Amino acid sequence: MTTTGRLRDCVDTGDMTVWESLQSNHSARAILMVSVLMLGGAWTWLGRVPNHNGTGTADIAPLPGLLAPDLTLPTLAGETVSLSDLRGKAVVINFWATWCLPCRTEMPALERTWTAFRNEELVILAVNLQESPERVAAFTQELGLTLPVLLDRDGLAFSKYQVQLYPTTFFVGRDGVIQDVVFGGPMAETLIASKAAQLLEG
Amino acid sequence: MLPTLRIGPLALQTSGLIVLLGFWGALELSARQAGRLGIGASTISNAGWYGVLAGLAGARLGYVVQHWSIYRTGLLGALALNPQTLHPVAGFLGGALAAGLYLWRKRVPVRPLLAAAAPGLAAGFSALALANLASGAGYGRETSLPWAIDLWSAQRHPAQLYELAAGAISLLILWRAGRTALAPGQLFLLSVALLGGARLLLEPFRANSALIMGGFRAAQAAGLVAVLGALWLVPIWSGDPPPALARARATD
Repeated sequence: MTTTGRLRDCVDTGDMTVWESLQSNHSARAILMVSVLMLGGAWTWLGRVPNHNGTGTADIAPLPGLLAPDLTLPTLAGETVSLSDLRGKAVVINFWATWCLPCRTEMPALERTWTAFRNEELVILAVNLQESPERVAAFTQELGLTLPVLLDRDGLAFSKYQVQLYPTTFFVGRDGVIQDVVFGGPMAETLIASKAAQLLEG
Repeated sequence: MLPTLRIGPLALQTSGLIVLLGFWGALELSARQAGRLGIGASTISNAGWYGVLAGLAGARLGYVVQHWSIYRTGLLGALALNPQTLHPVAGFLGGALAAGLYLWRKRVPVRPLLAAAAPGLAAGFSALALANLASGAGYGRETSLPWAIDLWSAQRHPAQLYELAAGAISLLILWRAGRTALAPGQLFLLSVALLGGARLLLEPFRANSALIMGGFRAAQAAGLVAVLGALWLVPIWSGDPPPALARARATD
C-alpha cells in the first residue's frame, strides 16, 4: 500500500491507535513530550524577534496595530500638512468625497468632535479625493466646516491607504499606530467621539 | 485581499462576515459531533446562539458604560449597527456566562462538551485564517520563495494560507476521529495538540506576531504549552468512550 493509501486508511477507518496508545504507553508519551519540548523549544527560540520594542514589528500598512503610512498634502487654505509632523497627537483621518452621501451626512459629526476635542491634541484630517478646490470649498462653506480639509489631487493618499469605500476613517494613536478603521458610514457622533477619547487616553 | 464587500448601498466588512459564517459552520459541526456523543445537537446550537446574542449585548453595554460621558447625551447611538463600538472583554464574559449557564442548567457533562467543541475549534481556526486573508491582517514575513504573495508592498509568506491548510487538515482528522470510540476527553486533547502544534509550527512565518519578554512570539509559546499540556493530560483524561460509539466499534 502506498503512503497516501495508508494515511487515508488510517484516517478513514478512524483507527486512532497512535493517540490511544499514548494513554497506556507512558514511556512513548514521555519520549514524545521530551521531543516536543526540545524541537518545539528550539523552533520557538529560532522564531524570536530580537531587539523588539515590546509592541511588535514596526511595519507600515493601513491596518490596525501597524504604523500609519505617512501622507503630505495641501490643505484647502494652501498650507501643507504631514502626518509625520503630527506624531504625539491623536489623529483621525477621514477619506471622503462631496458626491458621497454618507460622507456628507457624517461631516457635521466630525466637525462637532473636532470642535470638542481640538484643545486636547486631537487632529481630524478630512482628505478629499481628487476634486477641484472650488468644489470642496463650496462644500465646506455650505456645512460651515472648520476642520482641516486636505486635497488628494493625484489620489496618492487614497492609494497608500488602499481606500476602496467612501467614507473610510482611520483612528491613529499618538505613537502613529493605527488603532481602528471604520469602513463606510455615516458614523454616529458617539462612535467618533468615543474613538477620539480612546485615542487621547491611549 | 478583499477587506470590504459592497452589496448595493451596503458595505460589509468581509473579515467580519467570514468570522460570522465561520462561527455558524463551527457551531453546526460541534452540534453534529454532540449528537454522536449523546448530547442533544440542539443543546449545543442553542448554547452557541445564546452566547452570541448575550456576547453582542454585553459587548455593546460594556462599550457604552466605558464611554458613558459620551453616550449619556446620545443614548440612541448605543443601538447603532456598528461592530466598532463593542467591548471585547465584556462581550466574551457576557457570551461565556450565558452559554455556560444554559449548559449548566441542561446538565451537560464537561468532557463530552469539550469533545463536541473539538471540530468547531478547528473550523474556527480556519475561518480566522480566511478572515485574515481577506483583511490583510496576520500577514507573513518577507520571503523570496516562489510561492510568496504580494502584500503590503512586499513579497511575503502566505501565512494565512498556511494556517488555513493547517486548520482544514486538523478539522479532517478531528471529524474522522470523532467517529471512533475515542474517549471524549481524548478527542478534545487531540484538537488542542493539533491546533497548538499548528500555531507552534506556523507562527514564525507571521510578520506581526504579538511578542512577549525576550522577543518570543506569544502565540507560538502558547502553542508549545498547549501541545505539552495535552500530552500530559492524555492518561489523566483517559476514560470510557461514549456508549453508542463503543457499541458501533464492537460490532465492526
